[in-house]
Amino acid sequence: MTDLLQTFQPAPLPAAAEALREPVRAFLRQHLPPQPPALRARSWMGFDAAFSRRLGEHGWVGLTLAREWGGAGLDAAARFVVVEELLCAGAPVGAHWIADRQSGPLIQRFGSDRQRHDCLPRICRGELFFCIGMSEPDSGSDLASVRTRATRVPGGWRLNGRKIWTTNAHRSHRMIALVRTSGTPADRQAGLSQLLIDLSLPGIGIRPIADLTGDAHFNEVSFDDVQLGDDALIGEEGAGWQQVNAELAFERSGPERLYSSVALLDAWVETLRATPQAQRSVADLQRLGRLSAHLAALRGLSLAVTAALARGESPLLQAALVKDLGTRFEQEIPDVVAAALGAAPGAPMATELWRTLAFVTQIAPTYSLRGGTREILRGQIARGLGLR
Amino acid sequence: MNALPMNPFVDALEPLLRDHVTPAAVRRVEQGARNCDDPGPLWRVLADAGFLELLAPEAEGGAGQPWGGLREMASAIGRHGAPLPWATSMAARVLLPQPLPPAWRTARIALASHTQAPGCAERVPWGAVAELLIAPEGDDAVVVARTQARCEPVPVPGSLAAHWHWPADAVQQRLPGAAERLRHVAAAVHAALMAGALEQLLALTVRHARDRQQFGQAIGRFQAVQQQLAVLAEDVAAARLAAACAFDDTPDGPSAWGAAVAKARCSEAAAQACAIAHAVHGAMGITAEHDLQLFTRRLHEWRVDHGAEAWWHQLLGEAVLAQPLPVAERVRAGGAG
Repeated sequence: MTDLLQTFQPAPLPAAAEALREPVRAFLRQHLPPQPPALRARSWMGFDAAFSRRLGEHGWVGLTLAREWGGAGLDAAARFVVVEELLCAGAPVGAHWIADRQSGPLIQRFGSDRQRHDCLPRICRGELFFCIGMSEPDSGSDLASVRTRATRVPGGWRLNGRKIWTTNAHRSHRMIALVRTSGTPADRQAGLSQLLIDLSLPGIGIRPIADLTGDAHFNEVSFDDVQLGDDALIGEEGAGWQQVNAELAFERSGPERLYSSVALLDAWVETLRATPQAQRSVADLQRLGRLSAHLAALRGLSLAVTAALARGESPLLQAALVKDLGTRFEQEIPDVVAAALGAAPGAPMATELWRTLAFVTQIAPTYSLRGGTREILRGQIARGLGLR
Repeated sequence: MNALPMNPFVDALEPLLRDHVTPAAVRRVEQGARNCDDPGPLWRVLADAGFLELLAPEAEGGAGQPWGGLREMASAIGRHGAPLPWATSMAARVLLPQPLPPAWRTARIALASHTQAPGCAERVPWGAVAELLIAPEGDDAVVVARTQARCEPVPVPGSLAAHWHWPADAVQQRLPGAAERLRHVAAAVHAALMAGALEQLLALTVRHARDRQQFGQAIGRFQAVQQQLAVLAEDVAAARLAAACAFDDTPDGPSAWGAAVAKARCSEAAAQACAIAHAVHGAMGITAEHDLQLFTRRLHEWRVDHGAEAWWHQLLGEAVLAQPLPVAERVRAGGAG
């Protein structure tokens, strides 16, 4: 337990990482035209292949990958700065997002040389987009129960099954899927492997699923006798569970767990700033101040985990803690803004603000679902405390 | 980024706290506070070891540590229940002109961040066991000696707070323009103490959840309990990093922003953390005998001292609106904004 808290030491960003901030801002001024807040709020749901390619040209995709693979060879702190700027600007980073954050580092660490050659340079150029196949129709939080199965056949694997809630599968080139390669679902974590799947192969069906906001970012993906080569296996056969866990520390602690709702927060703050000082309510000032204090603490926590990653540690528990706390904050923002706006029904409200509030309110439940549900994460924290 | 730094001052302080500032010692101080008793040798354990001079310049015989060096020391003191004003006395070194008069060097110094009337500071933390008080007077701060003030312990069992009343001629020293700085220092020190006390609260609660058997197993095996403890751990971690905002990159004292973030977040965390800790401990957490109450009573009191979260939230809200920056950018600028 002491270890859990010990990681949380103040860890200011190194100057080398901070030095990236201004160039990224200059890039955004040039390449990201002003957008309404409801669009900015989509940020890492936003998908813009041309934007990702331009970002890649500047060397800001695959930042943490080795130079020999086309990466920048920088550490987690450098990525924190770039990502923080992109997210706070509401840039459409969805196209390269998964590859940059997880798939690239995973392939570099566990992949074969052939997989590295095939994927990493194109990831870094912002040309090769990834999705992650984890959940299935009958496997959500109970990930170890996945049934999608790859069977050994001469020359490779035959894949059958279904994945669901796969973000951007319909616009991605590759999927890294967690599948069963031996045993049965009763064997739980044993017998699971990670496969690299080219989504253009025959036998793969991708069906976008419309969500309640009117968008369609996640999908159901079906595999019917899909033939994969020998080189589809990432890392070791049967080590899929351990590899996924190594990946999750990257997924769960970054700035994307702080800033999902900042476009709404900023839109609301603009209306507060436009209100004459004497007419601002104390309650609104307190609401804003409270969210600011929470963000300051959260960012400190996220930086501490980033520093641990940069030291080469795998702070999975700490990342789970930051993710849960981060999503609590992100989900509170629409709640707080709705309460504030609804406290003055006679006051005019910009329709764009209302539209942004509606979008963030509707999508906010996903914050504590994606990347591990709240209940699962809290169970992991409890394990870290020595309770299970 | 290198490995986590070690702090030799904390390493030296911890054994003293562990050996001397025991729950029994804390209870003895609380008993004596009813009559404003001198806490005697317990105070001198840290004072004689020189810890009060942590922030004093080396030229004046101090350790010459920057303001940020106080955070972990105060949190360590908070983890042990902080029965005496060690942390505020250390912090007072950044408010008082150096060198201190010899009589003040080992004095127990309390801080008041507000007065309710001229010459009257209510519910001064450690007011019942302090020898000197630094309190605001208009834009200035003044130093008042206990010997020339009337000190009235608050009628709350175990509280170390007292109302102080003093005549105008009791002021020993005036610190021009120091009132705001005093408020920030007081809030920062409280936040660091609270972060430490919250860590102890988490440790006690986890231990209890592992030890206490119900339905044939440790109650910590139940998901309902686990989920609450996870939330407790999250808020304790957040309080820890929030407290750090009042000590980051500011060699001479806390920034207004950092002090506000620190005290606001720690105060908010305290209320919920105490509720969870008590819920998990059940009825035995309410007993005088159990050590939990040494921390929850203090945390509830500290939450309100020097302004609870609502006070600091309002100041932070005003600070955010004062500049045409996105919220995240303002937050990132912190005390430099």
